Amino acid sequence: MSLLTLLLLTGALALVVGCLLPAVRRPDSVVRVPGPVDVSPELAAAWKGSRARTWLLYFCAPLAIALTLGLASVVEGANGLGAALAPLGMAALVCLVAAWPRRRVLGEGSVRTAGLEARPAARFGARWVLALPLSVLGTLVLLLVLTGIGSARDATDGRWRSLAYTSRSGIEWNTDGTVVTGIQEGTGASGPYPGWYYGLPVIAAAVIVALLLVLALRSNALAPAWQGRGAASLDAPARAAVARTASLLVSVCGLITLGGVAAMAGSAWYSSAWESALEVGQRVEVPLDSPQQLDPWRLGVAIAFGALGLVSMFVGTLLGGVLGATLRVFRAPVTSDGRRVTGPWPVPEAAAAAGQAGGAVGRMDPADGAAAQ
Amino acid sequence: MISLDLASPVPPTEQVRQQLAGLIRAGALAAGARLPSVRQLASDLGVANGTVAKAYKELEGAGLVSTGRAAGTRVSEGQASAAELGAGVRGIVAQARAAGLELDELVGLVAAHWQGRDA
Repeated sequence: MSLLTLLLLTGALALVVGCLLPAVRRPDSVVRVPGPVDVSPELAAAWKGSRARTWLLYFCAPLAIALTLGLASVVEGANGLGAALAPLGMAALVCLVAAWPRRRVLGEGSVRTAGLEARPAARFGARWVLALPLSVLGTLVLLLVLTGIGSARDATDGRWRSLAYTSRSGIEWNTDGTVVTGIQEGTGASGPYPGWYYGLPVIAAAVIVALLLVLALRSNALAPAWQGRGAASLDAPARAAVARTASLLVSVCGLITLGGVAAMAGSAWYSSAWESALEVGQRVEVPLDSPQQLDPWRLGVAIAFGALGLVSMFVGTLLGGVLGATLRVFRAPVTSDGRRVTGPWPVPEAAAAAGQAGGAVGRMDPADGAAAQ
Repeated sequence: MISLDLASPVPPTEQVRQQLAGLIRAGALAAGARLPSVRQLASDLGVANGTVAKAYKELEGAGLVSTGRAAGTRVSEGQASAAELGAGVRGIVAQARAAGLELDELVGLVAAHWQGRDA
């Protein structure tokens, strides 16, 4: 079974598990709108705009990956650099879309209202909204620095994408090649390896993505509050949906990159772990026959990198399964003057009555605003 | 929640200051509670940052809030001198809404009684 097949199977399993997790299915684990809610036409348009923007965040994935891979193919001899940068390219595009100012709703009349709950950019939407992606990107940067330090120039193109090592590979034989007379330490190189050739661009991309994410979360948290009928019920959930979606997508991209880097490093270390199993003075039946064995230390390093790669891909795909729960907020029963905006069909009776009465049926209790965080 | 009437003759800074001071004294904003940032509140109300900053500065001058660089603006300790008023005000507001009064009419009624005249 190839490494790629193993990674894909791990990802598929994680997706299934993610979709079955109780946290995904439990409705109060995600942002919700206590409803039904009747809103002004202006707010209805803004609410649909938020839904469209959240969906657009998901569709950034194929677009950004296609762009990154396309650019990489234009540059000859990129040695897979495009594939390494594609997930973070997607993450950057997600952050740019999330940072785009949302539609303003001024409401009618001259009165403006504002809640008094602080909306810190680092936590609005969920406590982990900044901590999770920054932890993932930080781990990725640390790993790339580590692998970069251990890298060497590739013999064919001189790029820092090989793993240099020494091993018991220089066998000295007697005249008929049946007795080992000496074993010398030999040098070798295995690759591709996530050395500086891949590491520096990916580190730069990770830093840029982290800065863009902070910008996006700040823009989302500080966007002017929606005003008017029903605004108190929809404002916080719309913000939380964008914050959570952007945060989760950046985390998924970071974990996919981390998994790929770790898997590449593990593969190179595994290749470097093979060395001669002979001892000085040993006799072999077939002349010059040199059976191989795995050096336990290098094998251990390879296994560690491989395990990190698998866990990263697993967790990344698991988070991908959780993403779908965020979109549920846009299934809330929202009407405008009795007409359906989002939510179930037919329109719930309470919402239709509220539309005729011209008032909001559901308002977000301040406690729910805290719960949404 | 606070509201700002852009058409009111009362300056926006004063409206913000009055409402926040009232909420703090009524105990609706607990001691230590963090107020929204100047930028957030100004953005939500659709006013300049300086308007909210001035209101916060006046509240700080009155000892109702304290401002720290990392901690933000927080309600000072021991400012809820009229905590029992909160429930009473909510009751009056509910009665006024039920009677169909507008906010201006209710404020006028309160002002008339404050000055010792019958409405």
